[in-house]
Amino acid sequence: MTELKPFSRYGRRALRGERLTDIPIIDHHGHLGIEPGGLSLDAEVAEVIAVMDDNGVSRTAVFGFGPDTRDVNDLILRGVAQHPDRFIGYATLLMDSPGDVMKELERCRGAGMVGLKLHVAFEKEPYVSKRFKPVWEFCAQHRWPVIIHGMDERLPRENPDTVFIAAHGIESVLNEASVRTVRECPNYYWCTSATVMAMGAIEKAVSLFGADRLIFGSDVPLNNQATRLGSVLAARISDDAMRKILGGNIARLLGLTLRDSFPM
Amino acid sequence: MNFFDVNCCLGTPPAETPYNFPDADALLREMDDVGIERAMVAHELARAFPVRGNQRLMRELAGHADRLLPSWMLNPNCMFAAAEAKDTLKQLDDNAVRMVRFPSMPPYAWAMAELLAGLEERRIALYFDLSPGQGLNHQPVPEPIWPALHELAVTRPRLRIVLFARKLSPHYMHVLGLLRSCPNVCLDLSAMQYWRATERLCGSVGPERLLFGSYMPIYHAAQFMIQILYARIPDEAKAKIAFGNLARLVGVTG
Ligand SMILES: [Zn+2]
Repeated sequence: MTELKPFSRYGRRALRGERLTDIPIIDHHGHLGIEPGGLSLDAEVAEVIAVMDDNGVSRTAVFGFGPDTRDVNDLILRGVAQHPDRFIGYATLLMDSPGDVMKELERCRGAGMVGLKLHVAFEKEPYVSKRFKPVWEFCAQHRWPVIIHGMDERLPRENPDTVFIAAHGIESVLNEASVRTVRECPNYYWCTSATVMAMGAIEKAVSLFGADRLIFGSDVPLNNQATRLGSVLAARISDDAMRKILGGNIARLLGLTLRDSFPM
Repeated sequence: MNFFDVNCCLGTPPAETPYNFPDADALLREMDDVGIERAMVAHELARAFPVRGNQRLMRELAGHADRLLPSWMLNPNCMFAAAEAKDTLKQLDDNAVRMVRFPSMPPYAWAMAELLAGLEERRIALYFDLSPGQGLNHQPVPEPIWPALHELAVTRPRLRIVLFARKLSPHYMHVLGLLRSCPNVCLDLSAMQYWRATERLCGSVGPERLLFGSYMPIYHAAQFMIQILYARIPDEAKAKIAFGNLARLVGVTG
């Protein structure tokens, strides 16, 4: 059993009910266009922004899902356009027709998107297929992080110039092979958006490979952003490690400047 | 803000987790550090062996009655584990137990009439963990539980029932329906980690029906404390969810 270390000062303050508006908190796993509580897009955008305000989250990376990726990406672009200072737009793709995929990637980049989100459940062919190489090369060239739900861990090994982020990666903290991949691949990161955040999971991950490779994500608005933020703030790690996980790491990957904290 | 936890356990949990609380002192250290005043506590050993596990719990909690209250695990549907209802009720009386826990099963009112009547009569609260399986695995609740639960809550209106499951999102209609139609049913809020859950439930059924639970040591208590602290609801509502509702439910003052 692990010995209890002290909470970070951010965790302490949150447990007193304080919103942490003096450090930049970036939620790297959010969605738009998923109709939470039966809301239309505009109402959903307003609600997600209100939730971010409640939780002291300065920015949220958003992506969609659905069968028609062009349509989904348009929806994300419409949402991001309403709050370009608060949302970070990611493209989403179905990879089965690579020709169109490259065109759609270019279109999304032209419209201001800065990363790619994929979900293994929607694909027929495995991501390691040779056909998809140009996609990883595109992302490496433009410094786009690729966040994947259902990561094939051969990807970060075979494409060392592309940054891969495992959505819900923290759930693998007791899986030795996954931990080894993080240790051996500096281009491989884990998102903290766990459906199941075991007590001590973040402490364990930090003790195994440090705090540089964990990125806060909540899966808002599917999940409660406050609970998911709380599951990170609950970790007994150093202040420095906490700042990296809550925003520092993803800011570095996306080249965001963090002199600003919470924008309100 | 004061917190009163409706759901935590001593002993080794049925899932591989970095933390556990071998004894009351370990649990109290964690409660002090995170800021939880009181807790309803069960013992993992009682999941498989209710007699030994609940006795062990009472030994562990001895001398800590000001902060830790026993929550006995019962398994009335398992012929092997089930004691005679009258014997169970006598033991609950002898140990002044204010809450018992059932595992996931349809709680047919007709099938456990004597035990359920005894709990109702004594105002012993029933904490219902509806999750199938154990530990970290998240499965939907088996459908037959819902009509049985509704019938139980309606036919025993003075029996206080607390609901919990690790995955309740696909059952929102059932949960909301039960809370709305049965004033004797409450919800452990840690079961609802979804979109605006705290605000929406407060709006639909009021804060009086929601309780703070941590699910320690499998989950970390702090995330559910922060869920309540950051919610867009009045401070009085937060105080009720965090402490007051459970204190009233199990008859604790202060
Ligand atoms: Zn997601």
